[in-house]
Amino acid sequence: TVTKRMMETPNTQEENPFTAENVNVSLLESSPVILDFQETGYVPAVIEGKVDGGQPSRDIEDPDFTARSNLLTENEPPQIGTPSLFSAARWQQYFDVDTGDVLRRIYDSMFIPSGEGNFLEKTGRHPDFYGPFWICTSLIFVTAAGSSVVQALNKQDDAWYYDVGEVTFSALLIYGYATLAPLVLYFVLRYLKNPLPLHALLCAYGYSLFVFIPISMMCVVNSELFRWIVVLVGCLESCAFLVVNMKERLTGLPEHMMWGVLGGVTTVHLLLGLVLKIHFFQYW
Amino acid sequence: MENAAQPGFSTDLDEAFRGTEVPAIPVPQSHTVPSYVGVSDFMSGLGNMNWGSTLDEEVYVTLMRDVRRVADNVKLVLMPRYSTDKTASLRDWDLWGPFFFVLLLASLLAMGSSAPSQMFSVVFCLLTAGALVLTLNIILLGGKIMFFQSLSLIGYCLFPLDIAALLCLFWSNAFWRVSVLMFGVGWSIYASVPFVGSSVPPARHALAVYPIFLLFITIAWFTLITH
Repeated sequence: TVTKRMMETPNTQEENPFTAENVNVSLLESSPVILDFQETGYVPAVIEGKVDGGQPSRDIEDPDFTARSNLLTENEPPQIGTPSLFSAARWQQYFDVDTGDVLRRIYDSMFIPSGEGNFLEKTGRHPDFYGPFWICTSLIFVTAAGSSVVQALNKQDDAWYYDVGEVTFSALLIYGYATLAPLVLYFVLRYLKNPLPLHALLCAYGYSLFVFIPISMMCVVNSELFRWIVVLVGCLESCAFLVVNMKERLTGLPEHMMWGVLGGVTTVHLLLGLVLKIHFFQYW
Repeated sequence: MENAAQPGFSTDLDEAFRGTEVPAIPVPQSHTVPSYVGVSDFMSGLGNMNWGSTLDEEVYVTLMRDVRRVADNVKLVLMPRYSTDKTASLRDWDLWGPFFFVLLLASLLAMGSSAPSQMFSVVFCLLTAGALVLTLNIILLGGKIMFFQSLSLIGYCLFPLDIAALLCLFWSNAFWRVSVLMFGVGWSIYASVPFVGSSVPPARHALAVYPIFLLFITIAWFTLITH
């Protein structure tokens, strides 16, 4: 797309200056034309995904910090470049979130209608590994602690010892799921020609696991029925979060394939919830 | 070359050596003969010391020097009221203190468990990896800290949990344990929050403090449920 400025240069032909026989050599000989390219991508009027709209943090004493945050005041997405793998700056761009942003994202993951279904958009621009990592770590602790409380409440004898293997199993399960599931989904979507950025998928999966934290706390109650209801509701909410936010971004797929992918995501996620419930909070 | 107009040059020797003047080099008056001159510049925490002679001292003196250093750091980190300089926290950081506290905590928790070696390794890895990850967390959030200084500080903040674990050994009453552990966790957080909070921008204060809280709560819970 070319602006009017080029069309104003001297041109002896009348109608379409761009047909083969009408290309005017004088166009080439005239002073260099300035091409203004129009952005055809989605340019937001407001920076989404950051609670303060991309304002630099108010840290007056630190000139370095405000200088770096000034990148976000311009209305363009931050450059997710790839400096050296071992430099702090490369990974700092994935942790460029404030407390308000993280809380807002957690709120959106728990109460789906409040987000506008564009979680992947928002986190695509301001990716965030802080949330997923610490939500997974907290979840590991809460499931291990919750299961210890359940065992202690239901113990047959006084000589009950806690099995530390639960902690390691929980860590393997949750860290493994939170890294492998987005990875597999990323490659599947690439194969199906509808790529989504990996950091956005990791972010979405991480925040979708948040709802399991209050669920694990509630599973301490000693009623099996209550536990099953709570786990079911939580799993459905978590899956709904993933599905609602991914649906609009899978437009490159034919209809049945999109539902296939979403069905796969839901099934694996439900499996995770089931394993969490049966391993940690089941007392026969 | 005759240049009699120059003052101060009157002898033949001076005339012979004219043009070869060099500025006077001050000769050190006291010859202490240090073998490693540069080292004593940055080992300021150890005081003015003659490095060559520590090889001959008694083992007791060597050990007490490090013990005293650890004790000073504990006082500095955990009882800031008693230190004169509040902002210069832990300039003289060391990793012996944290190492012993982690070992002590892991041993205490392993003693009360049915699979001691597994418990020991889990707690040890949790604490060391936890301190590492917490330091990385602060750096990635944009905090400006020294890596090892922060590791050292988080290690020293484990000392109240050590005391709490020791106290829990004596009596396994639930109420006693909960109150002792709450006191320990509270003290640890009180010691670590000012350092962490001042190193990251205020908008990310909670993001940096929450993981530290999580680590201490995890250790407290481990202590609570062991025998």
